[in-house]
Amino acid sequence: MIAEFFKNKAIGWYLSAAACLCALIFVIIYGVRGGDGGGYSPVSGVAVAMIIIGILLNIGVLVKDFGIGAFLPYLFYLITFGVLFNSEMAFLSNVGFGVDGSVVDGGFIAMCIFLAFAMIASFAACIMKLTKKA
Amino acid sequence: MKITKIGNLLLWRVLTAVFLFLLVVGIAGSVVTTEWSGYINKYLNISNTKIVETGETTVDPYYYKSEYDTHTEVMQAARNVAYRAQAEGTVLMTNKNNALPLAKNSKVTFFSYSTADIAYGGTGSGGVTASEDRETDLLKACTNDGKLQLNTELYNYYLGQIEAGNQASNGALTRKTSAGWGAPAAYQVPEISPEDFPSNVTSSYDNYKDAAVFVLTRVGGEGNDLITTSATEDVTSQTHYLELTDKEKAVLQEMKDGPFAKRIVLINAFNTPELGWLDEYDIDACLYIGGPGEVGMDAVTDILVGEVNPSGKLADTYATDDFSSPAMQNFGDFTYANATSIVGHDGSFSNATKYLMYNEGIYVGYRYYETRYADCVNDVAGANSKTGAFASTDGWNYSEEVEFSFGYGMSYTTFEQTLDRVEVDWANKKATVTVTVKNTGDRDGKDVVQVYVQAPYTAGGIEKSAVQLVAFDKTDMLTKKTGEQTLDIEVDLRDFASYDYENYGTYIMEKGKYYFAIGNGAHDALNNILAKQGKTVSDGMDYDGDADKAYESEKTTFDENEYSFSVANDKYKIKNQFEKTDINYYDDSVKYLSRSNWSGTWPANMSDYTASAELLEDINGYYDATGNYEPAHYTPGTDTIDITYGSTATKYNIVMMMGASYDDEAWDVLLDQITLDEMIQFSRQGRTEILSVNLNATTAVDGPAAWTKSKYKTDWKDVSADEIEVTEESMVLYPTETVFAGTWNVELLYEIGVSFGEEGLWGGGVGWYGPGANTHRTPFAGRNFEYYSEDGFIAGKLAEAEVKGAMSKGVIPYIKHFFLNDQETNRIGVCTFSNEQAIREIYLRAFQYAFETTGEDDPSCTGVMGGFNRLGATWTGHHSNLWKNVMEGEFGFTGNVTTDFGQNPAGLMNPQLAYEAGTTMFCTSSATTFVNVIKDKVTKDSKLAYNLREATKRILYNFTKSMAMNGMTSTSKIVRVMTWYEIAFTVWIVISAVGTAASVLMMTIHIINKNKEVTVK
Repeated sequence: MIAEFFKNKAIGWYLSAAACLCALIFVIIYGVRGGDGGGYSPVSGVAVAMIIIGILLNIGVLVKDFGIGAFLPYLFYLITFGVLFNSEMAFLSNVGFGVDGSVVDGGFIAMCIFLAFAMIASFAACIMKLTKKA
Repeated sequence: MKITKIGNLLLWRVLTAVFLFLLVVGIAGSVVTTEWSGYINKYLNISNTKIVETGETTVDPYYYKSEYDTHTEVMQAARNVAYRAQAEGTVLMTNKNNALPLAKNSKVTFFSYSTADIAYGGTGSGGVTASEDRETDLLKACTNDGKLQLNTELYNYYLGQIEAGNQASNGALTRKTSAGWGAPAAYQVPEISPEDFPSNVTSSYDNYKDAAVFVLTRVGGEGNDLITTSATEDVTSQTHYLELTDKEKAVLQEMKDGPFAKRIVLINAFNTPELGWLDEYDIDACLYIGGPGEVGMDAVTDILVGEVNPSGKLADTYATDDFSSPAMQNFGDFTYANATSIVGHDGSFSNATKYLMYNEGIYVGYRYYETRYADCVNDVAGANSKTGAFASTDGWNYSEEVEFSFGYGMSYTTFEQTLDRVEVDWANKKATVTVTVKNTGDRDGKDVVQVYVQAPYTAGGIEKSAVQLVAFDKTDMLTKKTGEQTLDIEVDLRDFASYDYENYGTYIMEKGKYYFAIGNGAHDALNNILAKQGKTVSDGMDYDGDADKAYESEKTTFDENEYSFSVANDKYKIKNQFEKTDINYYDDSVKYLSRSNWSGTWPANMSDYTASAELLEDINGYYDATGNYEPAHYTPGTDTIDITYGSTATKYNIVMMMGASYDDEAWDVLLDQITLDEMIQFSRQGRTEILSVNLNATTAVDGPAAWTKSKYKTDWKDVSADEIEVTEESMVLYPTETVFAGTWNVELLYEIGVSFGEEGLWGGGVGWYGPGANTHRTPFAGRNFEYYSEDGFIAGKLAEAEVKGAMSKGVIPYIKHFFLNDQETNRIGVCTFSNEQAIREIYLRAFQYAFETTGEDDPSCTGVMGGFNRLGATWTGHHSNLWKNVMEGEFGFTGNVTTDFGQNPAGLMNPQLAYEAGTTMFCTSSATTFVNVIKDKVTKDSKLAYNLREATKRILYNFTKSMAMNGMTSTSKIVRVMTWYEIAFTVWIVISAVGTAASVLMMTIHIINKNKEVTVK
């Protein structure tokens, strides 16, 4: 049954799965860093909510591909980026000005990298087919 | 054509993805640029508001006017003032056999990498890169008017090495291009060993041997203190940044061994490098040039050739060993031993785990060295003991410990100062010191009269410095041989009253013998006092003083209330306000340095200090780790909020409030018109426009050596968005404040302030984050270049003059960083501890005169920037005793209180507590931090609501006393306009939204069509 499930999957599906995984890692790092506390960048709760919605939709699309479904996780990853870009401007200027003891920590850099991967992978996935028959 | 024939599914999928991306980026970009518009607009020199005149008026809407017609005129005037500051602030420290001045057109070889890379100023927010076409580098400074013939073989060699990046392993960047942030890399010394000089360089010495000049450069900057350990790997003998590196020693040896007739050193530094090597390398003359800014080198070479006669005096002591000051025992990084007990110690509140103790008490700078010297001469209190001796061969010896004393400076001419008389009016707290200065030499020149006082000291009583500066004045230009001027110098006796925090808890003036003295620096004045007391070299003095330059006056009465009332408000009693800033409040663990027992009270290093339970509670009470902004030290107000927002019943215009007193009832009417959202947005530095009262948007810009990142407008009168045109000309980079301090010229500092004010009118802005007035507590503080001196009195007087000059043109100077923010290490949140005597007599004093008002002719500064640090456990912005009792109560201050730059209300700057304490605005750029917290709380917390309204009133009140009113009349209206980037983002969003919609539609049609085809098949 599992073999049957994967048999129909096109390259887009694997890219979408990779996007989902990257987004998941983003959330895991967020949690490991202490969520919104822990003395790091006050990552916007809205951004985290958006990416979680994106992950749920991504999982849904991975399970059941439909029409423009692949665009939905992509959209939410983009929104996450937009919200994060906005909230992190303050953080980045803190780092630049040496304010509030803010530093760019490895976790923050990793979060940015994985979000970027998630966006790129989901961008590619929603262009390509997720399933061979579709 | 059928719609399904347009493109194919893949195309529309790609376009949908691309347009979606563009749409999100466009929206995010639009939001971010809107939030940061204040900074962006300032950077682009544009405005998003314009003034529309709605009525007929004959009122001149320019309340603060420029004296100049064009931006080039104001720029040139500013450059002239900057030149004069350098000319008067350069200090001739030694000049053996009249080595200086050099003959004009002398052939000179300039040594050191720095000759081709002069440090014009410090780094960080106060760092400015001078316009290249305007900056006067050493080459220009020498060749202008044919002053000196510079050895271009060596100069070009240095230049080539810099341009080739050959020093990258040491310095990475030249100082001209590294005006970024203070960082250890910037503190490296990229000197080049003479061994590497090519033969054309070494053979050129014979053609340029009239003099060899060595430029010793040391930089400083925001964010990091100077390095107290070896700066570079290849420097084996250097133990800290302020001493010579091996390569510099080799260069000096090259000079010594060379064919040069004279050897001269220029100190291009903002701190005080160790100079015990001057004799070792046969240095004939030494000049302190500080950070010369864009034109200062011209003044320096004018001094070298005698076109200008130096008249500067040192505003800091030059110790032989920079670690010898007692303050150095507690400088740097200290973490509580029990830091893990502090809330968020490993996270956003980690700055709360740091502390710094000023155990030296009042003995900062010359107050330490001179007092210890006096006690050595009097052979009391173990002053001669080895404890605290760093450069002495036997015991503690002033001559070995100090290279150049505070206040010292030479001239190319000689002056004779005669103390004509001293009239002390103890009852009215005034004295007049009359001094005649005569130029006895053969060059015209200016001299500084310095008045010092020695107050009677009783062992075990209140600590007192053996000398303290209480007045100074600079003469006019006195003509050679005959020039003479008599100065009547007023001394306010309050300036040497002692702050007795332990007994009376206020200022007092004890009974006993007081000595007034003049001299060329603190040491000279002290020697004159000692001579008056009958001391000679046989008692251990380094030279005999002149008793005629000292005056004794006995105070025979004592009244504990005599000095305990405020100058600004004679009903306001001055009393202890900083008890919790004294670590002994918590556990009596500190023994402050006392001249009653030098060795027994020498400051202990306070590493691994364990905070008491009460101190931990005080620290933790400011933080709320839940992120709900509910710290224990704050109780939200529960009263009914009876505030009117956004009233349209009246149409007051802010400009109508000009001249209104702070208590005028009309303020309430005006404030009622303002919406809550306007008030909240206004909390961000007061930058945003308030349409409801027709307040134009304003800007505030970093100082203190320039209006940083600012360019001149084409016309100072243009304040409306539709009028402003900006030139490509950057504003002038002035010399560092250490040079300003070297002038000892209050009138010149006022002119400098006026010059900053003019530049403010011509595009700088309404708010100027300057001047800095913290104290040079140690020689290693990274930001000493932004501050005047180790002495609170001269710093205070110069700051007051500069501030008043700037205010005369309508600038709001945010004098900074108030206060006890005297080092960069852990500056954000460090718990700083000091006793109240040192606070009052030194650190607060440096700001006090600018804030203290005695009436309309002596206005209080209209702004202040609080420091990042904490006073004890309390961040400056939360310290209500400071803002309410000292600033408002004692000084009569009604200005704007801004925080230093902050973006994280959870970390240090809790807004509710800050407003409650007296902070009126947050220096922040983000709309998502402080604003969100205030928005969330203000409708539930009556205290916050009322405090926000009061803060808004305070800001507006000060704006009515500033150039923010320029261009406005009572019938003017402020209208919001879209900036070009707002228009661009709007177009971007619309196009990408339409594109997205069209792509999604086409993609959907194609999918449906495809599904149909599949179904049909």
